[in-house]
Amino acid sequence: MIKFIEKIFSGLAFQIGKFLFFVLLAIAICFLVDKDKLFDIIGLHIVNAAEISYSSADYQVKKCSVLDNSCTKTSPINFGTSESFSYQYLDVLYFNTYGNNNIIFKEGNTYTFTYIVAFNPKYDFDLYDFNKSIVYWYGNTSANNSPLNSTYISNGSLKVDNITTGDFSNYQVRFTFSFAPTTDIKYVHFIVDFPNFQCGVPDGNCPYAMNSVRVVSLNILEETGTAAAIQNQTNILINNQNQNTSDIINNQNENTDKIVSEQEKTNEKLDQINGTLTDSDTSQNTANDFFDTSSILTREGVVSALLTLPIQMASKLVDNLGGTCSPYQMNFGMLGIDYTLNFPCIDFEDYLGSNLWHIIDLLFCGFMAYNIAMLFVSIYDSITSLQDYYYSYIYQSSHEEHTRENRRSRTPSE
Amino acid sequence: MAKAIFKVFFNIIIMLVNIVLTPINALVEGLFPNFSNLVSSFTEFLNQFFTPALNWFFSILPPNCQTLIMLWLIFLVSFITVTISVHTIMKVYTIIKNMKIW
Repeated sequence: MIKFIEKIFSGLAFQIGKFLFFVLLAIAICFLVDKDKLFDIIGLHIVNAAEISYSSADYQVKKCSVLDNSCTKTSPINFGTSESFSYQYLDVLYFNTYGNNNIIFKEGNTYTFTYIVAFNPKYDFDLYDFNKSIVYWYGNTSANNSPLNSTYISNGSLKVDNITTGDFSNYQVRFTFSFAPTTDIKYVHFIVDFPNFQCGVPDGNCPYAMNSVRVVSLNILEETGTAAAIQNQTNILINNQNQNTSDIINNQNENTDKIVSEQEKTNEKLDQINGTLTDSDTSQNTANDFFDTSSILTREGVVSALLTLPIQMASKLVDNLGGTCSPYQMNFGMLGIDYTLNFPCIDFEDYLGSNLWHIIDLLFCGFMAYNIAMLFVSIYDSITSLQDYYYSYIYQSSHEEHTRENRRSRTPSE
Repeated sequence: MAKAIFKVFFNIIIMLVNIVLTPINALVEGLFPNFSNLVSSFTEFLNQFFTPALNWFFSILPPNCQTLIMLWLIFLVSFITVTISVHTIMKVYTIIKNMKIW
């Protein structure tokens, strides 16, 4: 039995070890390789915001309220500082980026604005609330011009995702907005309207009461060349696909709610019927339990609990697949002292950049696709040859080992 | 969609294993009640200890990679579970068959 467990773990440990080695190798390569050179090799020429002399003075963010829709009376939010809201709603956020004489958003290039905005207090936000926010972006050829006179930029794309690094007391959302101007632009005006925040008092439709919002950082990437244009179009397609998926999920949720409510009604009726049929004198009768096979079939026994343990763990992992990361704390005691190991959430995409992160993703996918293919081959071999190679690999009974040793000892060479 | 398919796949395997092992479960639970409690506490401990750790590990991986690793794990775990279940059932059946009581 012990040898059997040892072999299982040695087999799994080998696979996990291979995978971890690949992860470490990829991360090491990412840190060792110069990022700019790497992008040059793959055809992307990227100039960082700092290199083209953007300063915080170029970025202005305005908060707006229902009472002040035009946002012309409010002063810009100071970059990096927290701003309080007089009302318990967050209606419209303005992200204005001004050009000047030296900075022009050039025709044909692709620009990606990444705003990280922190909301306080920290809610368990549903990103869908942000994704269905109304987003506008405008551009103007004159610097410091009024946003109302700007032209709508039609070929832009927006990605909204939450990040969990940094200050955990806030909920941080990253707005990644990219576009390729068709003419030279000196002024970009980016508006986010939050329909789910427009309420005075939080309720079911509008569950969040915001106290403050803070623009943590703003980075601008300027990309030139064909690769950037292709990337921009890809972003637009992905954005449209995400929007369609969100709509489908929303419709499915509504349908599920309807089904659940109908089922509840049916259950109530069944309870009523059951109540009329059940006699209080026969409620203690265990004869009914004897014929209740459903509980027997679905009830988990000892042996099946052990055998299906990996599947149950995998099932729980599937439930959390694609969910938000939560820090993990491992508590253990040693020599009478309690220790706690903290594993914080790490957003490698934030550190490495989205392009590099996607390359790593691609490498991992290739590696995993190879493993899955090999697994299928081994399963196919096992089934077609009616010999369970995988089981033989992880398990060898002591009887078989004994027999094998006896055979060896009888051979004349030994 | 992928989650739903995975869940259905898991439920089918768990249900099949449960159905096949129903008599053996009943036998073991009847003969060794303390062992049953021990196994229950063991499985609960493993679930509570490893599931959050694995969740954390998967959450830091790239999104597409998460799905592929999950796919690989699902096939591997399902295959191993089915294989070991079959062998276990065969062995238990052989033991029961060889008992002198029959």
